[in-house]
Amino acid sequence: MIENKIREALTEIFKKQKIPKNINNLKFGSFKNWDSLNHLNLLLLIESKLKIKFTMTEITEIKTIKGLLKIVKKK
Amino acid sequence: MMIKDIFITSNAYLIPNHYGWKKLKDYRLNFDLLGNLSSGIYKTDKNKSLFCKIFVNDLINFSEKEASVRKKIKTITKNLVELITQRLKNTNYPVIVFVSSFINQNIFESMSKSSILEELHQKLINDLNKLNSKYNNIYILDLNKVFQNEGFDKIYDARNYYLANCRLSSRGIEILSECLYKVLKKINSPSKKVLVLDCDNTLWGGVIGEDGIKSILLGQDGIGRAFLDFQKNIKKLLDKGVILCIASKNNYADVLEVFQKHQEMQIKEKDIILFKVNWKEKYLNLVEISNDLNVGLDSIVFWDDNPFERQKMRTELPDICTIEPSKEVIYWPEQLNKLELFSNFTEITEDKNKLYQYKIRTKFVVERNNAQNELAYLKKIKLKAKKINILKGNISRASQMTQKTNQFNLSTKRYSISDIQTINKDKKNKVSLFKISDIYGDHGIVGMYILKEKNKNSIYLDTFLLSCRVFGRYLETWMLNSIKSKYHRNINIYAEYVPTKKNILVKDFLENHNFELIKKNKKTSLYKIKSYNIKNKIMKIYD
Repeated sequence: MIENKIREALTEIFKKQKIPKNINNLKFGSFKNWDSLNHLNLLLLIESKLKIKFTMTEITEIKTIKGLLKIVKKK
Repeated sequence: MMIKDIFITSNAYLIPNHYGWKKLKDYRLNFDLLGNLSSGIYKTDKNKSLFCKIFVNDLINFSEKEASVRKKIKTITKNLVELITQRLKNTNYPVIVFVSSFINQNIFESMSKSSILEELHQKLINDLNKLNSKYNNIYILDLNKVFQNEGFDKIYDARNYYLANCRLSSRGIEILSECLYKVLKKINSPSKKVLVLDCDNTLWGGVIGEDGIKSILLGQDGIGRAFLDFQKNIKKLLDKGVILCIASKNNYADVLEVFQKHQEMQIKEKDIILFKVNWKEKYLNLVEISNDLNVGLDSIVFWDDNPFERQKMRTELPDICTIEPSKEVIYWPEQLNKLELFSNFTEITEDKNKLYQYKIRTKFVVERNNAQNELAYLKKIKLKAKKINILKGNISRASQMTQKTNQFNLSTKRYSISDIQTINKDKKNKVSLFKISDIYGDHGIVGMYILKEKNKNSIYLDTFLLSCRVFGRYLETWMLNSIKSKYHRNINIYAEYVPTKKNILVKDFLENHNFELIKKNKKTSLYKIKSYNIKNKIMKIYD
C-alpha cells in the first residue's frame, strides 16, 4: 500500500524514467533529474498522498527510499 | 489572443514542479524565482503573460526599527507600482498580480494598533487597483481574501520556509495555482450569457401543479427563505446582463400564476425573456432557447434540482453548462453567488441594456416571420443605421464584440482593448462601428469592421462582424456598402472567410455580395471583390 503510493509519486515526479520493480534501492541521485528540487517535490507529493507531514529534520535526513519507508512506517 | 505561456516571478520562492501547479498543466510555466521582483518583471518577454506574486512580508526588512519601516511604506509601494506600470506600458499581454501577507499579531497587538504589514498590504492593493482604470491587461487579486477562507495556518508553512524559502504550504501552492487558473480561464474564454431555470423545487419548494400557489415554499421561515434568497441572487445576475429563461415541465398557466400573483416572488414575469413551460423534453426546449435568442449552446447555463433531468441534459447537450446544485437548497444562494461563469473583470455599459434588447429581438423575430413580404415589412419598421468611429467610450464594446461574436463573424479574430488601440493607431487601418435603430428600439452598437490597407491598390477586410441580436435586417449589406462607397472602384478589396464551428451562417456571405473566391484551403477562403455594385433593393429598406 505505502510502497504503491510511493511508486505512484516516483512515476509522477520522474515522468520519463522507468521505475524498477523494487524501489527499495532507489535514492537521491538515482536518476539524472533527481536533484534537490525534485527530491523536495517527491517528499511533498508523498506527504499529500499518504496524508502525513514530515518534520524539517526528517526531510533533510531522508535521502533514500529505504530511509523514507522507515520513517513513513513509524507515522 | 490565447494565453499559453506564463512567466512566474515572485519576491519569495514558490517551488517549481510542485504538484500544486498541476491545475495549470495546459499552460507553459516559466519560473523566475531569484527573489528579485524588479529583475523578474523587467526580464520577462514582452510577448508573454506575466504572473507576479508579491509576499508583503518579504518586502520589509524587520531588523530595522518599526518607525523607520513605517516611513518606507510609501516608497516601497511607489517603486513596485512604477515597476508594474513600466511593464504595462510595454505589453498588451496580461499582467496578473497576486498580493498576500501573513499577519501574525497576538490579540492585544491587534487591539492596540494596526500592523505595518497590514498597512503596506492595503496601500499596495489600493495603488495597484488604480492601474485598473488605465490599463485593461492588469489583473489584481488580494489573495488574503481567498486565503482567509482556508485559514492562514493551513496556507503558510514555517517548515517549507526554513527548508526551501517557500512561505506557502503545499495547500497554499494549490490554492494559489487554482486562483491563477481561474483568472487565466476567464481571460481566455468569454463568460456565459443565459441562465435557464427549472421551477418546481428550484425557484420554489413543492410542485405547483399539485400543491397549489398557497402551499408552495417561498419566503416562509426555513427552507422557504432559502428559495427566496436564491431568487434574490438570481435577480442580481440581471444587473450583470444575464438573460433568464424558464424550462419547466408544467402547465404554463400554473407557472404564470405564481409569477404574477405570489407575493414573495422576487423574479417577475418581465425578468424572464423566454418561458418554455410545457411537457416536452427539456433539451428540446433548450435548443429552442438557443435558437430564439441566437446564442450558442455553450453560452447557456442550466439549473435544475432534478438529477434525472440534469443527466439527460448532459447526455443530449454536453455543450450546455449543467450545474450540479448542492443537495440542500440552503446552500444554493451561496453556490450561485460563487459561480464564476457569468462574471467578467470589467462591467460594460452595453451589458445593462442587453436584457431589453433581447426582448425586442424576440418580438422582431415573431413579427417578421408572420409578415407576408419580408422587404415590405422591413421598410415599415423605420430602420436607421449609422457608422461611427472608434472612441474612448466605445473601445471596450468593440473588443467585446470581437471576443463574443461567433456566428456572424468572417474571420473570428479576437482582440483585446489594447489590441484595438494598437490597430487604430496605425493610419493604414480603419476601425468602424455600426449602430442601428428601428421601431423596436435602439439596438446600440452591433456591427464592426476593420480594414487594413495593404498597399495603394489593395485593402484587406480583417474583421467583419455583426451581433446576433440584429440578424435579419440586412445590416451586413448596409455595412459592406459603406465600404464599397468609400473606395474607388480600382481598389481591390480582399476578404477572408475562416470557417469555425459556429460561423457557418456567413459561409456564402461574400459570394452573395459580389466577391469572388480566389484561393481556398482547409483553414480559410480568400475572396476578392468582383463588382462594386450595390444591392439597391435592400438599401431601400433603410431610411
